[in-house]
Amino acid sequence: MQLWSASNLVVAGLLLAGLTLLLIGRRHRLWREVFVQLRRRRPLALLVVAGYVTVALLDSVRWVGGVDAGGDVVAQHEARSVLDRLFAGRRERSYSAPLADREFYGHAPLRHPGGHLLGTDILGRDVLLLTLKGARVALLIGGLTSLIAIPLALLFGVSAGYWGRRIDDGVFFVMSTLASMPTLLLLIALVMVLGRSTVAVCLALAVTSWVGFCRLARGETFKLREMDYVQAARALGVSDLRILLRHIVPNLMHLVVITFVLMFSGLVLSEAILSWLGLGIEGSWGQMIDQARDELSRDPAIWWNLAAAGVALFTLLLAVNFVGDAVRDILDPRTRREPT
Amino acid sequence: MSPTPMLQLESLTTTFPGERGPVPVVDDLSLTLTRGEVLALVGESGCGKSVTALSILRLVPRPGRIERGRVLFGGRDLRTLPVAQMRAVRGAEIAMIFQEPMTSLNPVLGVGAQVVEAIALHQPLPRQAAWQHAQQLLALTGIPDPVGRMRNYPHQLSGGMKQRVMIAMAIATRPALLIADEPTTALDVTIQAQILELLRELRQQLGTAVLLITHDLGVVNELADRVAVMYAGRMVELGPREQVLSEPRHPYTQGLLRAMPARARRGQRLTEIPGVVPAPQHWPAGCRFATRCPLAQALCHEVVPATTALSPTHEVACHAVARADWPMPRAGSQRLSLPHGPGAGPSGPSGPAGPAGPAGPSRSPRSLQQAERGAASDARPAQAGPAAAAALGRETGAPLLRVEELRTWFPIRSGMLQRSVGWIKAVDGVDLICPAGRTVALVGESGCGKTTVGRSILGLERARAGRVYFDGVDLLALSPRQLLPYRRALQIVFQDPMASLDPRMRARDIVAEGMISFRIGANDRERTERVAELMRRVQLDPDQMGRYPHEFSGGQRQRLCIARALAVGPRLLICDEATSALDVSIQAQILNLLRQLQDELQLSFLFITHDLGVVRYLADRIAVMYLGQVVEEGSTERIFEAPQHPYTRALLAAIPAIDPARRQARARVRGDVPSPARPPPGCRFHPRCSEAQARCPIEAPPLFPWADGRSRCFLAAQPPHGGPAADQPVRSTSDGRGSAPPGRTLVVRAKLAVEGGARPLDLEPAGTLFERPRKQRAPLRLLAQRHMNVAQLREHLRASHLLLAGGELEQERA
Repeated sequence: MQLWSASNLVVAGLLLAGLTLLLIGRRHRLWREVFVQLRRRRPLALLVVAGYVTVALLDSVRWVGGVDAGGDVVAQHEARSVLDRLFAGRRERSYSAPLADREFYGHAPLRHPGGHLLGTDILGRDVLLLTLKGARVALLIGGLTSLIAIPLALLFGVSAGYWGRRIDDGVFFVMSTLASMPTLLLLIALVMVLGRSTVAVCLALAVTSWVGFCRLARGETFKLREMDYVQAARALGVSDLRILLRHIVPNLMHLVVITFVLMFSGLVLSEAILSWLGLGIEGSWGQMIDQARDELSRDPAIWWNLAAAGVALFTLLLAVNFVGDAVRDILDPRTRREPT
Repeated sequence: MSPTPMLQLESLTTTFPGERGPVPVVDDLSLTLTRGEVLALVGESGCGKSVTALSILRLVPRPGRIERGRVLFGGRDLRTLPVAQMRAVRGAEIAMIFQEPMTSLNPVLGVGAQVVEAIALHQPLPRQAAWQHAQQLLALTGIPDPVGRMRNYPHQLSGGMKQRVMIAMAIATRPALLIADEPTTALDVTIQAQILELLRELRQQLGTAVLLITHDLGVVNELADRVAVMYAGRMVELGPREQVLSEPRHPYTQGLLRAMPARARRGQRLTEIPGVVPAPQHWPAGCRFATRCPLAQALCHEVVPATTALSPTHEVACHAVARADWPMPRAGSQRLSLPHGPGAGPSGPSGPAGPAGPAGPSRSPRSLQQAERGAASDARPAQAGPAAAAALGRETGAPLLRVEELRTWFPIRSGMLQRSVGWIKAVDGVDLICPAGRTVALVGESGCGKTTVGRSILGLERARAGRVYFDGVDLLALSPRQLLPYRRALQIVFQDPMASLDPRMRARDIVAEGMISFRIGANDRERTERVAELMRRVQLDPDQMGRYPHEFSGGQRQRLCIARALAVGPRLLICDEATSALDVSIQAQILNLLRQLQDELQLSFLFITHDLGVVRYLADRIAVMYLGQVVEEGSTERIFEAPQHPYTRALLAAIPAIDPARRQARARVRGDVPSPARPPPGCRFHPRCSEAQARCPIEAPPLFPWADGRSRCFLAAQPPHGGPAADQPVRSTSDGRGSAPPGRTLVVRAKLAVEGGARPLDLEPAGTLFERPRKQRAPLRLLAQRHMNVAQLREHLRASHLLLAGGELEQERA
């Protein structure tokens, strides 16, 4: 199977999963409440996040053909996303300032005068397109890494907290070992070992980021384990596994949601730092920023590249943080409505 | 009444914003307080007592605000005082003591420094003088060794001690008014008696007026001069203590007094106030008590009753009192018929709730239970054992549960490798018998290990030694799998109903949880039907089974906990402080429910509590615990009428009187309960005992038979010559008399079971001291004390599984 068709399948799966979750969520009062409250409290942030997700999905659906490649054999067999197709044939020869009608250096006339909202880079690629394509990478890093790290942390944290003793000792040993190494060095080493593919970078980020949540889940489980309702369940002969699934994990869910949101922004930032060190993922905002570093020192300076990636990164993180803050407030039982 | 009021509240109204405008949490409250007087503000939780106190100090938490009224203190209106002046009033002229001494002191500052700070804020004194003044204050509050205590940190002090420090800080500037918000609620009875005595003394010495906020009418009786009863933000009755407590006129005051289990006779149904205090946004328009009042008429629901002065000092806000023609039963008559069922609207119970329960509904659940018990044993033959034994036990009246020599110790770990360096002997040799269909109360102060006993019986805590026989089977010897069928027969109800219900599960799933794990009910439909049945049984509306725990009131949540326990058809219910967290009126409802369930289902109760009023009302037998041991055991009547053990006597003396004719709470014991990590040698109570003798610090008394029970006190021992030969202590034969010099011991060699390295070797089974051996499995040297002879000791060790199969015990020297 080709890489691009796998990507399409993943998109289809994600859409399906999202839809199912939405349907399940509608039936649970708590999650419905979260959504309603979110729409009421942070409509703009929610809209921004939804926009980024849409762009990322548009960039993930790809197929071959349908574009006039002008006799270029490689280009003919290249899988292009919906986003690519929207910007097809808009390449320039070199730098163009935003909305300019001549090239930045040399003042040769452009192929599409005034058609580049955010200008072009050194290879003449539209910066707007590059920025939009960065959304996919950012969401992939945040999402995939969280998907690896959070279940891992939950599994270790809950078992350590619930059974304690040896298991706790083991988990704690691993956690302390990881925490005792400088995160950035560990990250660099892992990327060097695992390679620079997207999945490898995500894996490396996951390994370095699960410890925090694991500690949180462990502590919370310690507390929950001694709650009277868990004791009552034990007195009722309920099995450990069932207690974990029915009593402990559901009562950790609010932490999971909050951690996901906070982790997400942290991860996107980490990737930017990795890119800056030359170890990031192809096409990420971090890489754009890295490349734009040198361009700033030209005279006159090329500023739009850096600005576009920076603003896109900043906006996404701000929106996600706003949403996360709101979700935390909504899920906090103390702010939930009291019995009437 | 003295003519010059020191504090005068005039139509004080404090509101909190609600969804439909501000809600008056304190509504139009007027009262006066004269110099040196103790006024008690009484009511259930959510009646606005604390908000009243905070309004006086202008400390109402946001977004609440004082809407109207005046707070006149010494001629000034505190409401309009500039902030800087108000700050000078707080602490200097009006001081406050809070309920929770644990959280009211800063844990990182020494207590001396905190008291000094309280002084320095309002009195510029040189450091040395302030320090000395603080010492005097601590001495005044009766803290032993105040000089040494000054340098201690809060965590080094016990709860009672911390409350004394709080009081010392409050009286540091000799305030004219002391606001005490539930000052003794978090404390044990004996400590409460000490604090009450202290407050009485301070008031005499300093002439401080006290605004006492409490829900405990016993405390009111012990301390107050006048009583103001609050309900739902309004004052309903105000008068002198004797009158309000002996001749209450408002139906709410009457209801509160009658709901007190200490006032009721045993076996009699408590008169409950139906329903609960509604949340402020649902307070009714007319008289706020109308929804729960047995006398309510149409008028009550519409018109706010005006205050009627019955005498110059006694006022009541009630239509029924104001009008002579009101159709009402005589106040004070015991047979006041209160409606059961949904008086209070949607939150009220609506099941069959008659006192005795009509024959129909009460029979069907039992047959259901039997049928399903049969079904379970058909399905799983392994379960037939306990079920059959259960039927047998009930008929012969044999003890359902027998606990022998139960020991549950918790390791104290320290160091890098977390090696246990000592043991907290939470339960250290407890014997207990629960007859079928009866109620046994386990009583004691906090930290005595009573909760751990309950949890160890259920296997929630692993006991180190001892036996728990249920229907003749030792539960502690069973594997978790073998124990499973017995889990059905033994259930528990916890103290805090909110903490014992999973906030993310619906009522139905909570009740059905145990049914699923024991495969009761064939499918979901059947289980749901049974949940509905159980909810009706505990007087909850089955329509509410889709709700989450936070949507129920406190009393309803506790009913839900009871329903969950009943769902698996238990025969013994362990109630661990099951009513302690509830208001008086709700407590009465739950106690009535428990009695009713006992009658209908032949349930046995092990009632673990510190509340002796509840015990007297409910229990058939009482076991009193102190520092991990049962010190006295006997029938309820005998324990209350003729307590033998000095600790039991002290405990009973400390209960506040509920009879307004007398005030009786006396602190008969000094000091606090020692740490169970290092219990005192000999009799554990001897450091606090007023009747301790020379032998008490050296020898540990066993449980001597006494009257209809047992007592762990030498005063209960028979004279040494009187007993049969076998009982003659070994030591006593050597010198021919029973009074061997203390400390002489019987030294024997024994081969004991020693499991692993962590096994503690300083076990002390009933007066036996073990010497720590150098090598494991080496013969131990036992120093038995003289009330045991070799044969008894051998038997004792065998029974405690301490003596190896091939182990022997021989006397080394006498």
